[in-house]
Amino acid sequence: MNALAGDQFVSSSPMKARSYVLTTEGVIVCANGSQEAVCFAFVKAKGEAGCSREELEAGVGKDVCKVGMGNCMKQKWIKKAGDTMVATVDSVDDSTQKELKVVSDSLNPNKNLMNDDNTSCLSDKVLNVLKKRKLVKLEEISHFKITKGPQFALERKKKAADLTKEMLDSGEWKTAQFRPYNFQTVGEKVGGGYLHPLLKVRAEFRKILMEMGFNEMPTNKWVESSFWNFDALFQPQSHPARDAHDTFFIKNPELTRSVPEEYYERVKSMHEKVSWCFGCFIFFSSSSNPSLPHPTQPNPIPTHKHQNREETAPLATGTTSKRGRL
Amino acid sequence: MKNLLRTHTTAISSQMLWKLANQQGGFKPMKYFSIDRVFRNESMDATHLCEFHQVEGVVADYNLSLGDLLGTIETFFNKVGITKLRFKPAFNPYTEPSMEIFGYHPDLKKWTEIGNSGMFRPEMLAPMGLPENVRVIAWGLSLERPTMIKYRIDNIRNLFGHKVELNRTRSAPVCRFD
Repeated sequence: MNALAGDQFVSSSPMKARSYVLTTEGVIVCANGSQEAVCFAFVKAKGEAGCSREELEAGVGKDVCKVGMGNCMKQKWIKKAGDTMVATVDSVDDSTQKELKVVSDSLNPNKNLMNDDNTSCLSDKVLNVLKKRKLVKLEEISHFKITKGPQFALERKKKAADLTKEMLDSGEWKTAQFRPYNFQTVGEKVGGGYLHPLLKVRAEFRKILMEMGFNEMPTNKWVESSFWNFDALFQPQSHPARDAHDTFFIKNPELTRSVPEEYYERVKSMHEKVSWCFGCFIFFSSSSNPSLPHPTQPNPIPTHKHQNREETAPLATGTTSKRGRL
Repeated sequence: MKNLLRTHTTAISSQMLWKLANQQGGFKPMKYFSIDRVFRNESMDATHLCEFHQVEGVVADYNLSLGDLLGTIETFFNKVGITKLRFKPAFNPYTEPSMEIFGYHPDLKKWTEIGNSGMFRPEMLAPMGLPENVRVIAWGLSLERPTMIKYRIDNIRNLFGHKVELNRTRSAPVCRFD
């Protein structure tokens, strides 16, 4: 309906109506008569002898008796003589049942409890009493009044939202009907990229370092040769980072193809010369590229010890998480 | 020589220093930096992952001293907003002397290790062919720790990896060090 209204096929206006409907108890009363009428009928049927409260309770039910007896007394339909009750009138007018019937009829769509001026056929006082007795309740009903709209047609034609290339090509745009432009809508959210917090901090660090006159190194490769990662830095064999447990070695390609040969030789001889790292070189070069010169020693020493073991021991044997990360 | 996932960006620094020493026209003083990913095959916890980002600075010049290193580090960290610094002698395989860098953490109210530094050993520089009196100073830190402090993230898994909330990335404010 909203879509039809949007295209002006129909126009609708919201309506609201309030009406009284019967409660469950109200439906029973409407069918059987009010509690007081039921009580009166029971007592009347007993004739001159009347009946006791217990008999009435047993005859009409406890709930009906409770409400009905008091009302009968109030209306002086019955009177008490000692423990027994007798009827004082021949017949009664059960106005409550009649009122409920009026309410019940009003639910029929052809009739309406409300008059044209939105007032009830029953007086407010009567309705309030019924409401108090929980025989009726007020319900609000929303509905719409629908009439033909300015663009009413028997066949629905969808209006174009946008001018397309196809419409221009075919000339359809001359006759096409367009939907009015809605200036109230919020535009679609543009989902651009977002920098990860690490990248934001990196960008800032980079700016600071460039301000300080530093040049960025080309670090755009993750796979490195153990020569550059360890040997060129004279990282000792026993350093925990060099352990297989701390380094991810590459399986394929497993070995480095080439390093600057002259430099490799100089690193090698320095490894052999310096006391603090004596023997390091043997291990790395013997497991290396066969095209490069082999060390003088025929076999690698798997667990070689540094001469200055005391100095490196804390790092070499310490837990892996505590270490210099430089 | 085996191939591996680099355990530090110093693997690149060593190549850059070698190139610097052997470039046409010979050595010229230079300042280098890098911020990139490195890999360590170690157990993971709330503050450690198998991969992290290393920030590294390297200066190669004639007759540099430890004072130059201290000054450079102080300048850098001051710009990052960490003004209270302390240095502690340490051991690194390829630098001597070496210093761990501690910064005063205003939230935790204690001194926390924020980086490592040192002067490259002459034995390491000599094979590269750098002139005799050229010294190389360097310092490094992780990118994760300052980021976690900056964005108040206490578990590294919420910062990096498959458990990162996309909304956190969407709404994270611009990083500024004023």
